[in-house]
Amino acid sequence: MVLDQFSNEKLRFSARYPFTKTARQLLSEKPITIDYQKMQFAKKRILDSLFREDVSVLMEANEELYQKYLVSYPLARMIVSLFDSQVRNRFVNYEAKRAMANIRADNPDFINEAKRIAKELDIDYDGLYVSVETYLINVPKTDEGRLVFQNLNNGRILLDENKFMSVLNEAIRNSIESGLPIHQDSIPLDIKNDILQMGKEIEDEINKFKEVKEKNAVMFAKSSGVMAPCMAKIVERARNGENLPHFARVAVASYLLKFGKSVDEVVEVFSNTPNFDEKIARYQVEFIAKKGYSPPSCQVMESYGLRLPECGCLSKGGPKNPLHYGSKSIFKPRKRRSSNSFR
Amino acid sequence: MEEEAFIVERFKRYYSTHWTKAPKQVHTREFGFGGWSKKIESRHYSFSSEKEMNAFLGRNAPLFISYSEAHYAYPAARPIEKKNWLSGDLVFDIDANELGMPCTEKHKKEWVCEMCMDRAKECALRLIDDFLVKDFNVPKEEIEVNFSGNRGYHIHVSTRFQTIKGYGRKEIADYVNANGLDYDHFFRQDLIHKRIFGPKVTDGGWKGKLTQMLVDGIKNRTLERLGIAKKTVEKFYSRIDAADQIANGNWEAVYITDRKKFFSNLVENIKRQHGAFVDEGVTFDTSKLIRMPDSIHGETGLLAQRIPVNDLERYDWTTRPVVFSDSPFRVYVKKSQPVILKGQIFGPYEDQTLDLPEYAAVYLICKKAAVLAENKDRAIAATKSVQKEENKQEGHSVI
Repeated sequence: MVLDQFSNEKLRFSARYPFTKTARQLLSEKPITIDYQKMQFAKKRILDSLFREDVSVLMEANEELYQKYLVSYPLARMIVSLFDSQVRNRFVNYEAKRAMANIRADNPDFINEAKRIAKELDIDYDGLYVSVETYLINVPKTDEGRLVFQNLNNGRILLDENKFMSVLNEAIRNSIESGLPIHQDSIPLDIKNDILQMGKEIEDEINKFKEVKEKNAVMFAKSSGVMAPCMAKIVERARNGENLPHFARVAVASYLLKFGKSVDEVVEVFSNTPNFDEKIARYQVEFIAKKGYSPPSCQVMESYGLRLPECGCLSKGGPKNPLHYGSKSIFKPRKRRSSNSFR
Repeated sequence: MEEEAFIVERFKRYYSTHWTKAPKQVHTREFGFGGWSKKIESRHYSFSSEKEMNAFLGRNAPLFISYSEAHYAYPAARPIEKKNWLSGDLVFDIDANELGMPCTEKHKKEWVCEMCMDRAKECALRLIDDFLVKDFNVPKEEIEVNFSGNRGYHIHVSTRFQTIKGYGRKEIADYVNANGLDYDHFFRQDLIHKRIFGPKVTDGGWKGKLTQMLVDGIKNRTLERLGIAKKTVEKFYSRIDAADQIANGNWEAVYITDRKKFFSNLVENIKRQHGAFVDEGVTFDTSKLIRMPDSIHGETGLLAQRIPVNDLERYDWTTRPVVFSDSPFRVYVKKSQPVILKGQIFGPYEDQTLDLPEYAAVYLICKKAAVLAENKDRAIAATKSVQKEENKQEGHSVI
């Protein structure tokens, strides 16, 4: 692929909003060389979406940086398609957030930039009116965005500036999400190995993060002595002599072991259950300890009817695993100082 | 002959002698079919053409025929993710037994009467005129309606809103049902002038609608119909310019002690009187299968007949969708509510053997309220056996 001359404005716009028709057209008319640096940039785009809260805004830059931003976007889409919807959603949300930050960072009269992008995304607006169909395709998922509260007349909705930006936000999100996941067969052969390699490197980073997260959770659980309510309930039922289902026994055993209890202490919990056989119980607990099994997630606990809603799990910001109960603050993503740190 | 065979024979005769119009773009639709025990026993069928569909119906005569609101690239693929959703019609289902009518308590949900069916038609007309045409600007000629074949109406829009996903469709359903109209989004406080501003008649959407209803109530002296308490009604009537003030958003013109409670009460009444009562699940779930228009409904033997939208107001649901003959058939009716068909009232019946025209016999047999007279003894024995089982279970729970 060969470098060529670009009109600077078109390149800048495309770098900031790589999901637009202008960007796609630019890339197809004037291809850019894909090299190791741009691959790494694409990987960083995805890692930022997973581990960062704030976004970097692209202000003035040189041609090289614009090209990195522009070409790393389709590369990132191919890489992120190797992962599940949770990772893809984070990528989509982060890229949309970045685009909105770019719009607002541009100038005080950002609404014109917003309208330009709306046009690129085929949002049919007239002044600040959008068609109800366009609105519903891009309906902001907020209370204020609900259709029952909108100024709807003859198939059009009158938006104020804020609502227009909310609709645009959704439209950008939908545009980025469209076409994902990209099938592996669609990845050009000359870059496929590099794409897969970047995927592997990201997977390693995710696994490292999960390990640290679990270690921190275990540390917290041990030091605080605060047991997750669902597990405390299973322990109570066991002590009351209830015949627990197998899943509940394995779940609570793996939890208590991570919590810092000894094998003896865990076996003792089951001693009141019907048909208790110490030898078998000890064998099973030791097996779980040896394998280092983690307790199941709150979602799995829910599917077995063992979740207790009072712990606030599965809600926004709530724990996703009983081990994380009470330890929310440890896992907030690192904040980074403001813009242009990609330079 | 068994009842199921009796009914299937009639359905088969109908489908072999009548051409059934397929849904638009039939090759992109998933079909589901049901029989005597269940409305959808199998799905993931597809047809490449209307001709192929008619040949299938003539051969198999399923008692229930449903099709997808959605258009798929691969409608027969499974699971659903592999079908590759392309777009979806916007569909509304209005069911007479979900309208909160007092008659439903009397005749139970399986049956209908003129009162609840009239209300269902009223809701369908309101959906079309007040919401789809007026608010959403859908031309009337682009709206398709059909009788559901049982207890209501289905309304389809297939020329726009096709690519809206579930969230947007839920918003449409909530809008036409007047769900979620809350005080904090309708009123705002001006902290500087310490005034409360409310919606105006010139506002679009529900803000304008609701305000207009209140203004009309003041002008026409019909506020009681909106469920407003007598004392408050008098306050509105006694202020000479109350209607104008409210129309311009000045809701403080009339002093109301608990404005939030007043608004909440007003909304409840307006929802009941002016909402469309659509089944939200049918509208928002893009994977749903819905009764195919012009198919026979297996619970009634009536056609889920297409109705030109301008004919809806005059549509006679007791006569027009009847497809079976007047030939008499002897049936034994266990128990049934009154049924109106072709201008005649049949029933209520209980433990009676009688001759009924084919269309009424089919109706009651499909409702599982009747059997062919020759099978009367079996039916009575089966009823007694069920009662015995119920008594036995009650006996256990007493111990």
